[in-house]
Amino acid sequence: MGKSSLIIVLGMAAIVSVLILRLNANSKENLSTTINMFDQTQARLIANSGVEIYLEKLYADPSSINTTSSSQSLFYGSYVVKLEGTLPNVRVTSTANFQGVQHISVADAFLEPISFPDVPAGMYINTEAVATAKEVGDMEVSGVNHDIDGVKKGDGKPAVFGIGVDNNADQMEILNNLQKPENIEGVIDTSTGETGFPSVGITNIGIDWGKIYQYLANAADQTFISNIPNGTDLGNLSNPKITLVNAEANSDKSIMINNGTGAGILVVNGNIKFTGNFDFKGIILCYKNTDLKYESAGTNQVLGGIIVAGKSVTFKLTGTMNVKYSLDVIESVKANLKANGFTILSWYE
Amino acid sequence: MNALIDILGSTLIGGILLLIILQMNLFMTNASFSSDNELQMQQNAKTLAEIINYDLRKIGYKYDVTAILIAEKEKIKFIGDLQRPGETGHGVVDTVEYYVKDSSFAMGTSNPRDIVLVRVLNNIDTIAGPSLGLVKLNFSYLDSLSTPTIDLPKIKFIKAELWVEPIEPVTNFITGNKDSIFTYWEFTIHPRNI
Repeated sequence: MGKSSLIIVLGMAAIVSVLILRLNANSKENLSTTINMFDQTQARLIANSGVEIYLEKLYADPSSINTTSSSQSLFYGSYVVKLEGTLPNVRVTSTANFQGVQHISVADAFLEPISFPDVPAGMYINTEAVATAKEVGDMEVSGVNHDIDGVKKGDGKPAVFGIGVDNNADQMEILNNLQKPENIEGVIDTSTGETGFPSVGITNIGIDWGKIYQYLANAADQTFISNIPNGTDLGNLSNPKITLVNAEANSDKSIMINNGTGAGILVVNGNIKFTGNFDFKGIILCYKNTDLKYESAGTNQVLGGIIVAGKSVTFKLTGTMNVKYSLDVIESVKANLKANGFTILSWYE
Repeated sequence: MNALIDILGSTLIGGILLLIILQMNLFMTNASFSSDNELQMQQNAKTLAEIINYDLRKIGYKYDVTAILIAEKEKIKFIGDLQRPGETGHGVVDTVEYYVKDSSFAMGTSNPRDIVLVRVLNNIDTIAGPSLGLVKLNFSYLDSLSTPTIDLPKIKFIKAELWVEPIEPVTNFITGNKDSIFTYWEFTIHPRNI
């Protein structure tokens, strides 16, 4: 009886074991089905990350075009990226492996240049109201075309207005308060392009300068929220920089710029004061979404163009603000500025 | 007399044991069948998800205008190059359409509710495989703010929902009825080229 019981128990145990093993095998297979889906997803994400990472690396080092990376580790997987093409066009092929699952992503991208609208005047004032128009007349603004050394180029054409405003009221306000009309020269007859003085014209070009400001702020090479320290590299014509001065971010809501040289695009958010010995080649965009105060003391020179955009603009001048329009400088800055970044044209994943 | 009682007793016990073994064998068979069916259901769901996932990610690839042509609950038609650079066929955009056929087209299954997913490539190459236990398919379309939309150019995300049941319904041990478990698979795809 004892032996029989043992045989029966062992037999039943064997049957149960087979059942358990079978169910366990199915359970493992079920799990591996789900895990395999996860592996595929992870491999795809690693490949896509490889594309993004190497586009950033290519942006920082354009000489890495037409190279293949070594195997890189990421998220417990690996990827290899191949960069092919001729800039500004590039094809990025990223091959990722995760737990034996391979995924290939291919992206075509284009290196976008920084774009900036045409500068419509030596100094363009975009506002609902120009306050203290008398002060504007104390500046020396030339819409005549100059070379990169600030010398009048030939007959000074193509020229723009010395000062451009948005509406007739602002134009009359400035013209009626000019102390030295000869200081504002530029186009005086748009039909012939004839230059002379006083050159104050209406140049409303319908641009949302807030958007332009934001675009440039995002692309800035360097950012200051307080006064720019002496000796700061603000660029030169062969290597211009986009410098963001975010005066709104400091407690004074204002910033002073003095004693320096630079080239590129100087983007100012908030009130600004040039305190002398400042020499800049390129474009200065002073923007504020409320009332903007623009001050200048000492001797400051801008070769290129200035755009001042605010709800209302108040000028205060106690020195010499010399602005000379220069198409050569503007074109040079645009041509030599770093690219804005890669735009994806197509992405296979 | 004692011997007779022993024989009757042992027969009774042996019979009970035999019944237990038979019942256990029946249970084991059912459990295996159920487990196999469940596994197959899970694999079918994954296969369906993989196929749809693979194709939907190609929407608009190498195609510059509105790539989604039809966006309905059980039907989607779109344009995109399905081949990557270096693969045969790359450079020629494909038109892909997915729709479902009702249960009368699901051959060889005893599930009365399963439907068939049909994939049409370039309007001619129709692939309608087995039902794979699919009983319901639902596409929904979202714009860049994840708000449902049917405006084709505004579609940025496609949410696919699959309800998959075993091809053969399994008998419930307790009720004795043939009822069906199901799996629900949902994924939202953001095709990068739209």
